Amino acid sequence: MTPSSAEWPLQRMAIVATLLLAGCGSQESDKLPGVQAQAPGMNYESLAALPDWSGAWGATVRPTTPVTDLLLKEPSPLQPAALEELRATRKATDAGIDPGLATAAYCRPFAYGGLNAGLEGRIEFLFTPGRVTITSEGGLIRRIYTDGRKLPDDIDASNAGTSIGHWENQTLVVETAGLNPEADIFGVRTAPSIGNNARTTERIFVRDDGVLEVDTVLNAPEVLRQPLEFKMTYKRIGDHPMGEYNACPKYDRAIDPDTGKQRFDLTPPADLPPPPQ
Amino acid sequence: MAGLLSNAVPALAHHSYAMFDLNTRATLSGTVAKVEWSNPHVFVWVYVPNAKGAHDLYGLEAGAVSLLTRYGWTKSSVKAGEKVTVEYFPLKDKRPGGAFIKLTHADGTVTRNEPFAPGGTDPSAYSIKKAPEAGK
Repeated sequence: MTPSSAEWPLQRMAIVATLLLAGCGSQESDKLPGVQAQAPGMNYESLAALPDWSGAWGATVRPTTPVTDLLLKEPSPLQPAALEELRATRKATDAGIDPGLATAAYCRPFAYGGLNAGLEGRIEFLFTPGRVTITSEGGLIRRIYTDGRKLPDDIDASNAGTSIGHWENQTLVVETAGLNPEADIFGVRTAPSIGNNARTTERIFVRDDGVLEVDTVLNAPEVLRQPLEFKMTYKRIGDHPMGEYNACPKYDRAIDPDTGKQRFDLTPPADLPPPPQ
Repeated sequence: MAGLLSNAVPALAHHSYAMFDLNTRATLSGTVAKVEWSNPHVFVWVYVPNAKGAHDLYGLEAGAVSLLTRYGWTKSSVKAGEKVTVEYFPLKDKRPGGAFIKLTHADGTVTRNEPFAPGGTDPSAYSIKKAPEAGK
């Protein structure tokens, strides 16, 4: 799929042209090294030139098994140690035990490993001058600087990573480094972690059919022998308010939080009313 | 009263759905006992009349709050005391429970968990593949 080729509204174009001619870059941004003060999105007025990604967006799929299936299929793109780890995990999960869940993996904050928001929950895009922010119902906040700065040479690892971006027409291109090495590949918790020095490149755009597409290339040299490409799609949910999501096993009747063993706890709630007469 | 339909679907979720029989769509009719409105799964408890003149208590796992609100659910969409019919994937171990698919209220309106019930996904909505190696 290619990005929408729809023309920007004439009114927006006029605003942008006026601003560019007048050289109305943000004074604060002008002080930053490497900024593109006159690019669209660099001040509040020119934000109107950016595509309308307002509202919440929901993932249309949760492809956990296809991701691990691809990683296990020979020749696997995984490095040998990561492949062995995944084989052991798959063997355990097939037996109804997920070792990772016993360590309360889902109780930790989301860490970006190539997929926004994990596999569940909605995301939203916030445009402010020189920055796009992606938030999720799982609590992940990604700050993407579009002011022309470069990625630092020495980056502290973090759950969101450090991101820069630029606009190619109506497509946001994002480079991210400094990722938490314990983040899961594409947010699939049963997949190996991404390891040190992982990076992603994303191309984010809204297709002609109104679906938001995120095409991500993950390069994780410690665990991947070659990069992976992952396409995820999201549908706009309109202005429904963003909520909160967590999958901590402590609150999940389907998982024993002490052992990671699959279960289905049918212990009735304590305050259950009596059956109807 | 509970009955069985059939349909084959794959499973995709934040935890395994191995405990559910995803080849069978069962139905039950009864009275809602309680709705546990919380992440990561909303639980709907239903009293279902049995052949002994008593009731069995069924526990049905639905999606997360954030997923269900996407379909217009609120915490009061399904109310304790109302009579309902529920379609679900039953537990393989035959205990009274399963994965919630959809609920039909007495007035015929439907409250859905789909497409985020197990298997309710669009395979064309994503792809994953190996990227070309550098220099090739």
